[in-house]
Amino acid sequence: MHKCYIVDSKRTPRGIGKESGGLHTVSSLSLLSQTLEATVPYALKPFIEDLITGCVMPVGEQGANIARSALLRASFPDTVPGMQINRFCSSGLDAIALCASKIMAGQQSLNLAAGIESMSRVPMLSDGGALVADPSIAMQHNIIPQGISADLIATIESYTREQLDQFAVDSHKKALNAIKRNYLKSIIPIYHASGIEALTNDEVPRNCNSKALSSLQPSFELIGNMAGYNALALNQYPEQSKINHLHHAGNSSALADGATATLLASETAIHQHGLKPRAQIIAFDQIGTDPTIMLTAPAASCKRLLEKCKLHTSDIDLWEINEAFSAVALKFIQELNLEASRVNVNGGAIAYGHPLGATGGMLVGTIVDELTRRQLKRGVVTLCTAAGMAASMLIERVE
Amino acid sequence: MNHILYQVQSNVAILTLQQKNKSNNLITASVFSELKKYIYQANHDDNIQGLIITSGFNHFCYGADVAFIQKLTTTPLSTQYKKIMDMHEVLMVLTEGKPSVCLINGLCLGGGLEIALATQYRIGIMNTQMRLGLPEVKIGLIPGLGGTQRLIRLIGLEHALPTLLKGNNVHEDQALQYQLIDALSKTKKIAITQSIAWIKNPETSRKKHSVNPYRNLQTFSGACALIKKDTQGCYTHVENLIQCIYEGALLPLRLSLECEAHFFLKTLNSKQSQDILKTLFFDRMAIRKHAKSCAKRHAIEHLGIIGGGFMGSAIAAHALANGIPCTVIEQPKRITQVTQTLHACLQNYPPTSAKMKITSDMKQLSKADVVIEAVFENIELKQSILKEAEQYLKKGALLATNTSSIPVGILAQALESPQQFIGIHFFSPVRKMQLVEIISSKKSNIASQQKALALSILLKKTPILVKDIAGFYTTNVAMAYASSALDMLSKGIPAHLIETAARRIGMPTPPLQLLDEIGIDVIHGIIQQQKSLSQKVNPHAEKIITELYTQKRMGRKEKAGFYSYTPSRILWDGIKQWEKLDQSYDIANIEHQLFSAQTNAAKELVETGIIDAASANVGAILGLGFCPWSGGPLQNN
Repeated sequence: MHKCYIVDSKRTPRGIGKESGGLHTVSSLSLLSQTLEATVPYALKPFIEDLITGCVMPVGEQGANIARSALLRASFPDTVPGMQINRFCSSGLDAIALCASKIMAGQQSLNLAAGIESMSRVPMLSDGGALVADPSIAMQHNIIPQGISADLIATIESYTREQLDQFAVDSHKKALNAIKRNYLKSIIPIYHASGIEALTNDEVPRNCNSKALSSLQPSFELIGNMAGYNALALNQYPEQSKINHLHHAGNSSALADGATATLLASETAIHQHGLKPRAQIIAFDQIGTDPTIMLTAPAASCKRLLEKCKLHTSDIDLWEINEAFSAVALKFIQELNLEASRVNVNGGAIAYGHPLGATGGMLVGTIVDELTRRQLKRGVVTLCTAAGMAASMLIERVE
Repeated sequence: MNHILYQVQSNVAILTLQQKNKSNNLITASVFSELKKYIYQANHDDNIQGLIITSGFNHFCYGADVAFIQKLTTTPLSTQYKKIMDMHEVLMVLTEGKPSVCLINGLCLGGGLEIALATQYRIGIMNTQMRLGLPEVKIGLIPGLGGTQRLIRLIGLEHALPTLLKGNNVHEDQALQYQLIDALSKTKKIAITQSIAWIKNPETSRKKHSVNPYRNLQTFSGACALIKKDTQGCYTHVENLIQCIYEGALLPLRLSLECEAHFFLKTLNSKQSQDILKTLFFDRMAIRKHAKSCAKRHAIEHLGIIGGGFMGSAIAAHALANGIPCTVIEQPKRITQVTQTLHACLQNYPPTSAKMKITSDMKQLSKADVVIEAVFENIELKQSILKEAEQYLKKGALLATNTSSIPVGILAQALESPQQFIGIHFFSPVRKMQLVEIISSKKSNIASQQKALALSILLKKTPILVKDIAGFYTTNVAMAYASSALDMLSKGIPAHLIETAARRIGMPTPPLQLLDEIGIDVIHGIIQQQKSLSQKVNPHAEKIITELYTQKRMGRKEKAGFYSYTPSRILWDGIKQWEKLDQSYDIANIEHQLFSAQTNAAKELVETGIIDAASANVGAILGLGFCPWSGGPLQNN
């Protein structure tokens, strides 16, 4: 097997995923092409052999294989091909894994992996899909909204509202600290057509305390009860007698706009182009679980990932678990019995927001930066996805 | 062939459905082929500008003849499909051919509504108690003549989904509001004038409903969840129905009909639907047919009821609402209260002109053709009242007892003419429950049984015949269900898992809740009675019931039983004394025990000749709500 290195990983600031957000007036194509431009030095452009882009709502302006359009807009030569993939929230990480696979297999040596989601412009559920509407899936497999899955995890694990809120408060604290101390090196500014800056820094994290969070109303109680989704959850987990609705806007990941790109190279390409690798991709894994509880697969994926590498959790210096909901991260930490101080050290999606297709790539960039800053070796990135899946990846910093 | 009268008025063809030798229209093969002939004739005749379909009876159409549908299954699948698509071709002529109007009066159900939906304009006729619906889902089927696809397109998903998935009827005002009908007319004559005017100038400004599931994502997602909440995944035909609606909604109308045909045939030919159909349609109809033949021979013009309590009043109100005059016997001091109870019961029915009398004078029973004793479940009390009543009966009148468990033969011992005495077990709420159990003692004569059957039909009930043992049929099956739950509870299985398991197999009321509804004192009484009759009693069940009885937790009426009821119903904390929470339980196993407790009890009663298998299936579903998806406890599930 060939080695695959991360040469660089860039990401846009995460904009608030609403009309009020700093990236809302930037088209998703512009967002992605600016990111590609910033990641790939001009001289390297002709040597890129493929671009794989994660995007969860590939319709409308994000449709028709936005990867190829972004390459053309970013003035890559016509010879550089691109494609778009979707495994929901792990798409960005899967894009890296796929690009890496091709390098590891010796078929290519310089690839670009990206992720894009402009949630303020192409809202969730824009792509329809059988998952939520086709009775043979939605009804037979007890498909429920993710928030209710998160509440189901909290119910089964008896997490309290205070625990979930505290996790969210900490995420914001860590994020504000990282921003203040300028830890987040891989952010690139995004510009309007005029050349005026649209957004230069993450705009979602804010000062928040558990008192403020405690006043927020649960987000999923009404639809859980009225639309019958709680009944589906209980049909799948009959030992529970009810669902505790504990998640709300403050302890769930926020909607966000953003894009990311990661340049991957083989050993040959490193030498040929005189590149400096920052980290090596050691292994990755994808797995499925019960689609009703939906969000618990990261633990299983990481277990299999470590088994593959004959490593233990104690061998991993830093963890990034996507903070889809507080309960997802708490359950992950609990199941792998991790030290909380090694997990999401600069905060996560609850603070920064979660631009679906881009988040996986952003987490890779974040962990590479943090391994570098702390001079540590191994990091694991993992994300849960809709329909009950997860992806994970182990990387090692290159000295 | 003359099910349809074909007339021409002002160059418009009027097709009047009036099925030969019947008083109501049902769609049969011959009715449909005649309809086809006239639809084509009207469309091919250059002098005809359009057509009107109407009924010559009080109702437009009851729907397709189920026997006609069932006959399809005797042919190869490809033939079944072809036959349905041939019918669609005809209905498509109504939809796409010359202007067509349907005049709707009274009931317009199933295939009848599907014909109405295929026409281009619908006029309802006022004051005919119009009810439109697609009730197929209630007997294990789904609509098969375009109902699923035309209804959603005509009135939109929001109104169509509940109508289709629950089989609910739409009444006159709703029909207009939903635009299921385009207009209302005072009389059929006016409706015909209106129809002719519309046919000459067929314009419509209806809004188009979007049925695309992806423009109605929340609607579909929510419908899936709510349906599953109701059905717990037990009903394949309901799943086929919503799948059919969804897949059809993704296609243009003509192709969606093919889609519907595939789902209709998948449903019709499934074992589950055949089982449901057999019990809830064919067996139930056979039972009612026999009872109807008895009703022809035995006139019941006056009913006597002894005891105006909860059941007595409810039976009296139900009889009055069905046009049977009643005399209710009650103690003098309770007459005012009983009058109130009875009037309250009558509020649930449309107004009736049948006369009632509430009196303490037993002599008044001499007018009655049937007298039903409905006093408290106590052998001595019942015996003494029956004995007294017997003296005042008119010659040839039937004396009956309403009891859920006391053997009729024991009560008959007190009587001089036990041959004219029988048990009729009514279910609560009397207005809603379709079943009655009829129990002949060894001495009851055949005429008594026939009169009881006749009364059941007059009261619009489905009567099953059960031999005379304590608890008869349904009470024994219900007790087996409850005992199995108490047995599991005594072994430490958490109460909420038992209740959940019951809901998951499609029982309408979980067992501990059922015990609360019946009343812990009543159950305690039944157990004591069983012991006094030397019947076997589950010791675990007895222990738990005695515990609740001692603690005066008598059930829902006392707001305390297995559940606590204030502020809302939750399982009583005290139940935890029996629960062992340190182990895990397989819910499938609990489900199996609750199910098989009932099927085993029913099988034993059938094998010992207490009841026949068809009645056992019908009785369990109509009387106990036993897993209707199964088609009854005697099906081979």
